[in-house]
Amino acid sequence: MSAPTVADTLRRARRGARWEVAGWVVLALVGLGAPYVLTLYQLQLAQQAAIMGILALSIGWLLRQTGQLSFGHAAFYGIAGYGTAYVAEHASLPIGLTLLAGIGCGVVAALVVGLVTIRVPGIAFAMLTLAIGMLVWVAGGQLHSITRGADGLNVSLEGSLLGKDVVMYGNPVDAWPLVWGLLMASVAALWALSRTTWGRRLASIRDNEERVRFSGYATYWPRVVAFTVSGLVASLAGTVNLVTTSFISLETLYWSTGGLALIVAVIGGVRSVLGPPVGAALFIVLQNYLSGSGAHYQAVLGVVLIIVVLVAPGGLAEIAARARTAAVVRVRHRATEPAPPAPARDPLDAGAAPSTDTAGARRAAAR
Amino acid sequence: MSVQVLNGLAFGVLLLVLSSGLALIFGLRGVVNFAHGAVYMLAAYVAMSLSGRTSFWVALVVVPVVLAVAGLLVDRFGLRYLVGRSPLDMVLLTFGLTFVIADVVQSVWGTQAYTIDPPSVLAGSTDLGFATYPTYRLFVIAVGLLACAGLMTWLKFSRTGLFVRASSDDRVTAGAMGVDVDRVSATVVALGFGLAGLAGVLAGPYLTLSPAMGTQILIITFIVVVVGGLGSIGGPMVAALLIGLANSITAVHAPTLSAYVPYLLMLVVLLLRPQGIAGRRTAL
Repeated sequence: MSAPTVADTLRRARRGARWEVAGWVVLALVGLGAPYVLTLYQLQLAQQAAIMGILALSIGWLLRQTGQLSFGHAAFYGIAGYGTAYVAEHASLPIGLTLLAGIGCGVVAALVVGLVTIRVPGIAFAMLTLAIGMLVWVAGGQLHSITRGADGLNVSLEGSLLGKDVVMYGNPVDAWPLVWGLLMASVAALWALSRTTWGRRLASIRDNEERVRFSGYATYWPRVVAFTVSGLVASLAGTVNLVTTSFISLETLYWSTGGLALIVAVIGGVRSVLGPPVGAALFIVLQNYLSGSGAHYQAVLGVVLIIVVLVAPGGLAEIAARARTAAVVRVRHRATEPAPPAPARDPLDAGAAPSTDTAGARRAAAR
Repeated sequence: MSVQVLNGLAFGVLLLVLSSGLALIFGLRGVVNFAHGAVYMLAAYVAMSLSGRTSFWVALVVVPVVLAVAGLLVDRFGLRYLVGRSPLDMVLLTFGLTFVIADVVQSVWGTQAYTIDPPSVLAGSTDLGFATYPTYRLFVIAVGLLACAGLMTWLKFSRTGLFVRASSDDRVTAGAMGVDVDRVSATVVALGFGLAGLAGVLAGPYLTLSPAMGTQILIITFIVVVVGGLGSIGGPMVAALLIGLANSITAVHAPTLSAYVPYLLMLVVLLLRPQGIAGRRTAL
């Protein structure tokens, strides 16, 4: 038996992707049936989880694709929400345009922040996004006439969205198809984006920016666009949050909104697109379950995060992938006598894989 | 005006103690310690309870020591396993620690705010000739400056201090020269936690205790370290005093602007001079 060729490997990867897509389509369809199974309260929790999942997805995807950790995504989430509220109150646009305008505010903010910050490497990027996020929060507190500060802003949207009065989306049963659909659409879109040439180039820039530049590719604009896309997804979450709750307060702009979403994304696993939403679901369930018994969910969350970082830096997604690999190896081992070589890791993941040698350390430091 | 300068100095010194711990840990472990603010908060609360039972002076000594031991454990059982991994992993670890400490504080002391009185020796005001000023704040300034002077002397003249400077300059080479880098790192993380503890004890009778105090000061401390320059100790010291002064002066003369000042300062510094005032390298 000869060694597998590149074409073989690619074919296998494509076949794998096809199965993955099929699995997601099934998941998306099954998810639509949630209102028929869950109680109203559970559905409300599921909706919260889905919205948090979209926000976590935006941060997780940015981290996975560019290696950059943003602590400022709460700003885009909040700006989109406040933008929608402001447009709804001051301009009598149709509801669709109002929502688009709100999302547009978040996207523009993300573009501006991306243009300014994207060149800054590593930890400094995290700190810079944190500072900008806090700047937006301070500004939000001072623009009391628009944001109503800590009291929060009750928003009444009017019009009909996708065949329903927009007020109806306050009810989780009516809102669920929209929220779930948006979550699955974001997952699919970001997954597809990371498989394009552009997505691959982003990953190369993450692994070695200088090398990519040396090879003649632009390294600035692709990352700005990636940051903007990530901001778009965060804005989407912010606007959907406003539509379903009709309420927004200064809390949404505070950095911990984004920080929590980041934790959730890491626990779920950022290497898989589905990881962050799974992490969000787990968080909401955990929070709900624990708040009934003494409210120690913060400590549990912190401990879970510490354990995940120490033991399985890829999060739940990595644990699942490891289990699958182990199962596959065992099955193949039984079928054919000579043991197959251990499956090689996806080269794109190698940079984030745990490595204790100094070369790995240097590579990690260089990122 | 001189009172405002003193106010700025008092707050600046608090930032000084906090940021030198943060900068030390960054230099050795390459980690931005997100738990620094939480440790500071925990110290303030523990000191409050302890000085209620015994006295403020006992708390001033005991709390930093206990937290230094805690720092030793965090380094030994946490950070040490992450050497060679992405620096972001360490950030996330300390971020998790923040949540745990916040939960502990909220479940032991509740969510209400506390103010504590300074010990009777330091209560009241002192006449400085040009102004009368609260004695406790003068005490904060004195202790903070003393601690930092001690730290600088230790770094400059002791053998361990030499190892610390060598290891933060180049971990691998220092290790090859026979420095036990892990041990030096453990010392430094313990020292950093101890300094955060000292700042917390000092802050108790000076600021208000609330579950939000950790995050508030953490972000300003980050700003100090970034503005001063990651990887340097002297830079953050200058930046701490600068931001303390800017804070107290704008609070009087331009109150609407004052909340923006630290963030704007950080933004400008990171964009124009990413290595900060005195940093020799960029922030990774």
